[in-house]
Amino acid sequence: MSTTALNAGVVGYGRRSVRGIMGHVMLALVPGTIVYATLIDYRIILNVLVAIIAALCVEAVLLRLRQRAILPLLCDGSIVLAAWLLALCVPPSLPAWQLIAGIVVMTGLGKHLYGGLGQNPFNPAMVAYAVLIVSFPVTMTDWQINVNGSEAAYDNAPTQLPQLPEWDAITGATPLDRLRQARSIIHRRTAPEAPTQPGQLASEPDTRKAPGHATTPLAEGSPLHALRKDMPEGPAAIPITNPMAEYSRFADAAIMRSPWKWVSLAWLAGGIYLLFAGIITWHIPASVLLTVAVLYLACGSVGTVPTIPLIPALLSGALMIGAFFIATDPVSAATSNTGKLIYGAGIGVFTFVIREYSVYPEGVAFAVLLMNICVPLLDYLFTRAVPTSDAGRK
Amino acid sequence: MPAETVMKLLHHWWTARRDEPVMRGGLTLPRHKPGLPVNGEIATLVMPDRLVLPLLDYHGRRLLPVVSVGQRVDYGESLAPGLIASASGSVIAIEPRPVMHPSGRSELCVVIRPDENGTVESAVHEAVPELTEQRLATCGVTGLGGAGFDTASKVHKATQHGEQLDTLLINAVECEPMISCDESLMMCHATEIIDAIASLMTMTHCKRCVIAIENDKHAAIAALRQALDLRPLALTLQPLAPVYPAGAERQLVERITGQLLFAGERPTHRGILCINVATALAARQSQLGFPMTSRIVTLAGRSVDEPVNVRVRFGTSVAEVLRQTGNKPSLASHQVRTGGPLSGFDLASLEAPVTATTNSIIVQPVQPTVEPLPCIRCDRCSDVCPAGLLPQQLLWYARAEDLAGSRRFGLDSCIECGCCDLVCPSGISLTQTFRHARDSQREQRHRDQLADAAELRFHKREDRLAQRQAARERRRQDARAKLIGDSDAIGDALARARRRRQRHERPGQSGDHATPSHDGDS
Amino acid sequence: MSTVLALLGFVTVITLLGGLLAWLSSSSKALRLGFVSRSGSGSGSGSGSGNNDNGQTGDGALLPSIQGDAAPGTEPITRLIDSVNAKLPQTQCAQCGYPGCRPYATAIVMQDAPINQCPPGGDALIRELADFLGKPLVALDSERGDTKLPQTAVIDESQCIGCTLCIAACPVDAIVGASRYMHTVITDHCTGCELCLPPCPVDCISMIAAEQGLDHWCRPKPS
Repeated sequence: MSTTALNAGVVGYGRRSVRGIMGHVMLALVPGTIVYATLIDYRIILNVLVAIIAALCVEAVLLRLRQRAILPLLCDGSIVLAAWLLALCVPPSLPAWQLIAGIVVMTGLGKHLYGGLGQNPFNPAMVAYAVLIVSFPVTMTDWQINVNGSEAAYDNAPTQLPQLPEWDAITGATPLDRLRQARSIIHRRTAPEAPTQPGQLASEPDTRKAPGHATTPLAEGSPLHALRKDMPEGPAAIPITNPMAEYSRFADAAIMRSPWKWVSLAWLAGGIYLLFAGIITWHIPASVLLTVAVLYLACGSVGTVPTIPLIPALLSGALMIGAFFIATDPVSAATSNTGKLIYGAGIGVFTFVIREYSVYPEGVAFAVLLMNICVPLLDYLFTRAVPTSDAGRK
Repeated sequence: MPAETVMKLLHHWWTARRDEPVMRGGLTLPRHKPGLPVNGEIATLVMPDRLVLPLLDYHGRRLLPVVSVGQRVDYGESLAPGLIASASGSVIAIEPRPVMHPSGRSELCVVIRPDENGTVESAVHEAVPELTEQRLATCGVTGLGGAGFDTASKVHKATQHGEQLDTLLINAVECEPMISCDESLMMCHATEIIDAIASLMTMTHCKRCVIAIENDKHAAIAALRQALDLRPLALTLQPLAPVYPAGAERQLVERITGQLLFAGERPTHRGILCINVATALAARQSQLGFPMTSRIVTLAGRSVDEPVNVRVRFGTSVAEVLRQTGNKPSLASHQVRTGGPLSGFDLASLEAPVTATTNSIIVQPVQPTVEPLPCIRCDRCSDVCPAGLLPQQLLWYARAEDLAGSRRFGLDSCIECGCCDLVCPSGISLTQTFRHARDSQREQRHRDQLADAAELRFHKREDRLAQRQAARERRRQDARAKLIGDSDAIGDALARARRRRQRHERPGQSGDHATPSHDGDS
Repeated sequence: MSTVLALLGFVTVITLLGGLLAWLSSSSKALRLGFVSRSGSGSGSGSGSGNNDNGQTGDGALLPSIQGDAAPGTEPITRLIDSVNAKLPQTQCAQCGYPGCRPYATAIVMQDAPINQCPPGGDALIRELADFLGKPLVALDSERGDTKLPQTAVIDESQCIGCTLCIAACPVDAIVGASRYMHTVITDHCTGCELCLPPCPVDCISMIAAEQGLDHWCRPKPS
């Protein structure tokens, strides 16, 4: 008995398939990936390819184990997209076997454990990212990138902070890593002068400890840790008079002069393409970016916490790719418009909190995972059903 | 929810900026209206040799026939309450025949063999100066739009409060692609339609009257304007942007009057009478004395060589319509659909007869069914849902047969338009899932009612039996009380009984004294 | 370390706030429903293992409290019996061994009678009762009979001798007739309990599948 609608083509409607949607998202990822490969590290292309091939193989095996039709589900493009996103999120220097382990986790734990496409409560790529970062903290935080372009530019920032050429010898860290390091330096330099200043860096008690002190296992071996051990301490350091402004200026320079901002802008361009192609709605990206912006502005205006200026804050780290490509994954995001706005705001808040107050320099992945937990509640609370006659009529 | 409020404000602002009222959701589909009349005439089919009229009302409830086999019936004569003979002839059978219903089931039908006068259509009643509900009912006028409601009772409900009818809404939207029967009617009979609207306006004393029509029906709009120039009426001709499903009653009312109907609420509750343009014309015909015995049917689809709109008498089988228009599809290789490409259903038998709600017959080659992918919650369905629901969420509950959850997500507000099916990238049959959920909810409610009734009857019966038992007990007590009144009588009776027993037992005893002595002591 | 703790604290606070919001906005079923919707299978709440701990969720949680409150007055118990009774199919067939549905409901509540004694209700009823009362799922007691499709009794009127025995047996007064006159079944009221079959001395009553009109037809679920 067929009472279903006739094929969309009969009434002249160009229906978009799942594969089409995934294809559009991948298309939107292309410029960002190219910019990444050109300006930062060409190895990212290799990583993306390895991830995609591994993901297809793992997916095929899992579909076979679950006794599902392999070809149609393999071709829907969702796993390719997820693998691509994961490859973009991890350092290009990550050993291939670790990346493949991440892919196995992503496909098995993140997706098929819950019943495959459309059933996963968490974003699979972010599940894999989280597993990778707790399993391989060293390689996951050590951004040993082949700097294609000249990175010297942003080390010559007009700042009272010392030039630290040895950083590049150790690692070509991302700007957010660099800010971490700068913050600890600023803190150490200013702490004796103003020990009672309220609220200042209060949330980072780890850095109050003596340098070289092993902090947490997670931070062990991170650039931060390396820095803490290697930093020359003592009279050579110039006292910093206005730490807040200094930090802001440094942040502005570190981010705006790094090639990473071009990558972020390329993600933004891809995201805008997705918006206009009607693949995603404006709710989640707008609410993520707006929340992060408001929080940075608010903290900046309060003036007791060292923060990054607005534009660099938005262009740093994984915020753009997170807001437009990761948070908008429809399966694990909230689905009503109000729900999406709250979901996005939550991601913004968590991103800010994790960035500013945790051991991790960037928090988009955890923010997305944390908000994924809230999605069932958001979906339950924010429906938009028309009131029934009993409830609505007087 | 502040966000929703902001959205609403923006929506209002956007609406106010435009001349035409916009509707939420819906799909803009390319205009595809095959078979429009070219020379201002709509052909009528030749009388078939059998007319099959199902004994069913618009709900699908069975009707009791008031005619018998062998009886001669006249054109316009009543066959059952609400069912009119569409030609004169003799009743040759009352038997189960396939009917036009998604179930494909056979139901009792009156089969008429038309006689030579069958094609003669004349006024069977006197023309009345003003249309009445009585006349609508006598002439069997039902909605020619989609649901086929009884027009007389609809008018009655809209006007029963004694207050003036707020809005008379003439639905000339016909938003579903490939259906053009109402458009053809407006192109060919604009003058009569305006007359019909005038009669309805007089009948209902409405405060205002609006004809809603899609703005891409240029020829129809021109014809109506021309007719309005000849007979000016105090009404608004409201062109609307062509969005599917703009013609759905609730959506149209919302768009024209700005009133959002609650789930399960009908426009008549708000003093709005929404009548299809073809129904209005049928009402006018009934005023002149003609019963409603035919309708215009659009014949279209990829397997139809020449799409056409024809006037078909009720009871003509689909096979006959196809044969007379030169089509010979078979159900093996073709999909024959009625009710429209999006909201209709496929026929299980071509013998099913055309009824008032058969607006179209669409013949397509059979399409391969595609296995649906899982839902990825892409939100396309909620973007296009004209009822403002979240079909992607509703789907979970409807699939799990969680009726409470389904209702929470607005199952009752779903109008089954099929927009979500059309946009779903995974190819999920959402609408059909919702249809099933609605029906099983209805049946659940029905079963609950039956159970309640059975329980009530059971308890009534128990009470009755208990009362009867109590009455019997009372009578016995009364009798005993009468005896107790004379206490010696009982003592005497007991003594007599004891003596009698002793007398009886003595001769039977053979040396065993235990029992008698014990008896004697007690 | 402390930042991780702070983060955990933050999450806890957010979760608590969310729970509070859910509790304020609607019933206590909020979270449970939300997760059922995401798992999507619909069998989540019905699986065997899931039902053992149903005492914590929704309606099941009410049971102990009702029983606890029952001592001062019988009101809550009556309400509980009513709720159980409302789930029974009301065929009044007595297949459960009790003289009607309400007596069975009373026995379930007061004497802890097994919940698998109702063939007309079948597995669906057992699932519902298990969920509601927080009892483990059990299979239908096959000694009580099998679950049948909806049926209705029909009297072969040519053979009926007018003995009124079936009228006395019918628990819902769905048979009309008088002594020495033909009897007939009011189909709309017949629950299909089969209690009229044994008393009939001439075996003129048969059960047929209940016929449903098109208005009760359910459009099928898509495959």
